[in-house]
Amino acid sequence: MKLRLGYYAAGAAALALALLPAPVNIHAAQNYAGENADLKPLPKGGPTPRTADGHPDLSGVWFHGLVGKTVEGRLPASLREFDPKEEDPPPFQPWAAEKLKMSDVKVELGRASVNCLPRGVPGMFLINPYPIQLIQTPGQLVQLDELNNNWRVIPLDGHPHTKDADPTFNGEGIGHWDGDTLVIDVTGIDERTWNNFTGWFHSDEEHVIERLRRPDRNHLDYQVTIEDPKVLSKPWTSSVRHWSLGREPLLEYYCTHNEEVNQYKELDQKQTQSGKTDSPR
Amino acid sequence: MKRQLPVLLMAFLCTCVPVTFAHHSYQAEFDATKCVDVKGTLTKVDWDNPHIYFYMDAADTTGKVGSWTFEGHSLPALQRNGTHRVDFVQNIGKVLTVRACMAKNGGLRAAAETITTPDGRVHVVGVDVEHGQSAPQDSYRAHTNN
Repeated sequence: MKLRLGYYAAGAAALALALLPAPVNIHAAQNYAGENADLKPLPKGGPTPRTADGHPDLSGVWFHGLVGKTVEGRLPASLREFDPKEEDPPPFQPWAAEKLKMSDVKVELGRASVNCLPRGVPGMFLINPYPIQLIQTPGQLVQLDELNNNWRVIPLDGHPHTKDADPTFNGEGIGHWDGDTLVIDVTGIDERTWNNFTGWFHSDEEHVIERLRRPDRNHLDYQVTIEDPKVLSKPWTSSVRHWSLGREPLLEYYCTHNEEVNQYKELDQKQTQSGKTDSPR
Repeated sequence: MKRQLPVLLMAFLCTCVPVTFAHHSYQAEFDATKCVDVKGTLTKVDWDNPHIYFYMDAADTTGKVGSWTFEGHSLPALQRNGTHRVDFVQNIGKVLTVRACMAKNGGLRAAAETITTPDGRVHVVGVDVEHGQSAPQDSYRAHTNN
């Protein structure tokens, strides 16, 4: 009996290894770094893993796009996160659209990355080119972001929001299951966050509904609806953003030295003095 | 400490193939059509996020030595591409060639694409715009267009 169990265990281990994407040694010597990158989309890798209570287990280290890794600047559009043709532009109210007409340099000066600020929610999915790790327990989902060593803990019991909650970058996110979809309802998001790279600001009334699915072992789907009656003329729903299971651990990322702010301030000053700005949006 | 003399700067401006990405952070700060080879002595590296910075003494065509500042990738991007701090530190005081695109602000400041170390290895240390690369956030911006 022990022997048979051993065979089963060995077989299960072999199957588990076969289902995993190929391991990556980030210290491997390469003559031209990145040249050997394998850019094949990951296979399904097996059925959706489930926790003891039957819900999908979203745990894993997830990379945006379909190849299960970050390949700096070399990810072809077909392997990236989503097809922009499947997504409508944000329906800004006229005053908000007018406010968004600013030069490239002014946009840069407001960006979270230039100011070493957190992306917030839903930025940690929508505008985050770095991997995340999800750790699911029976009552909580923990999200770790490599970018800025950011994190959030989401209770999964669907309880009501706190009345007049203080704003935070990641907001107050409360999850519940809708079938195999984890729905995270988020309010109280700090108004310093943007929803995209180019200035999509929001009000204190922003309400974000995130939907997470794990359709198979190697893939995570994310879709978000943003309601903001002060800024948008109607709710906006993103296309489904695809993330894929990686085998590399998260790395440390503290934003400690960014000279871009001063560079952009100088450029902005020069453009203001000369009266020649780059293309306003 | 014996210090190698700065070597001739080969700052020949090239007519690079224009890269067809729209609005993005790289283009706001650097000029992808003004890329140069700079050969000089590595003096220092700042191993930091969101970009590494490294510094090199190099002479211009008249022999005047200047101190260059190069901006590169974030640390995770470098590490996942197989480049580590030791690749810089062990070459401080040695002659390297950097391929980089000039800052729009002027001065001896540029976005590094690659460095060639004395052992002949070429490391991609920044956005290699001349070979079609774009920064992660630029990729997002190019295909979100919002």
